Amino acid sequence: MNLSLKNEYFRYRRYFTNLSKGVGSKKISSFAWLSLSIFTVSFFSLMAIRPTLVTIAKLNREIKDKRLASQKLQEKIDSIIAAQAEQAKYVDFFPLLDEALPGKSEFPRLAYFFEQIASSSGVQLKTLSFERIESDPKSFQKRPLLVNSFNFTVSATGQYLTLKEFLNQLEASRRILKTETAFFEEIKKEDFSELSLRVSGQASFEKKADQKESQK
Amino acid sequence: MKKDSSQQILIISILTLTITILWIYLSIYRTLNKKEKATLTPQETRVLNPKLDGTVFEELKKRKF
Repeated sequence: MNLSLKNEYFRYRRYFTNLSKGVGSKKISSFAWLSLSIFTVSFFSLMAIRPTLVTIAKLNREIKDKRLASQKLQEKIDSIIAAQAEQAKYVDFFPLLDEALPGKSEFPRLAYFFEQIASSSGVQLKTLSFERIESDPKSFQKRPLLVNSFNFTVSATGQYLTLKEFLNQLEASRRILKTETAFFEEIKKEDFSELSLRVSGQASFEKKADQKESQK
Repeated sequence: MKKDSSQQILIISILTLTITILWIYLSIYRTLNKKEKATLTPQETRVLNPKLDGTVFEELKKRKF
């Protein structure tokens, strides 16, 4: 066995090389140590330094984002404080807003308003009708706005000037009323004729939060 | 032959180091430019306009009913 190994060695001797000669060389030794050092640096950079640097970058970005969010929230807080100051300035006028845009349909008050202006302008109120408002929340689904409205029709008779005054007072109401049509008509009776005014429009009221919630 | 192989190993090690540095740079770049979910929603960051139009109140006050 040993003899055959020796024979084989002699046969393939030219393919072998003596490492001791190379390792002993100073230049090759330097190259080897340099390569080993670079490999070590690469390995640790990849396994230890890279995750650390990535974490640092992530935290830096998070700090930047949070700082920006904090700045925006501070702006919002400042605007809310300014709004509170502005609200305190006009707090005495807020009941007027409730009159202009009430929380409910408040049609009895509207009827009373028509009676008031009719008596103050000297006309005779003939008919007054309001659109029926459904209490079912489904009826609000087609109206995504914060303001609801209902139709009204009022007719009155009197002289031209008094009817005109009635119309002027109606348009100058504190409550938001939208006049859609207004037309005069002469009604002939047996021995005299009278002038009639027919006004139709819309009265608005605010959609309350619970109504908005029930739509969702 | 011996000289060539040691030089080749050195070149490979330098190349490895270069790729490692590039990899680290790209990882950091990706982390910094990654689009993440916003901390606050647009509704939360919406700033209110604190101004109130005082003329509206004056106009309402002038009206009788």
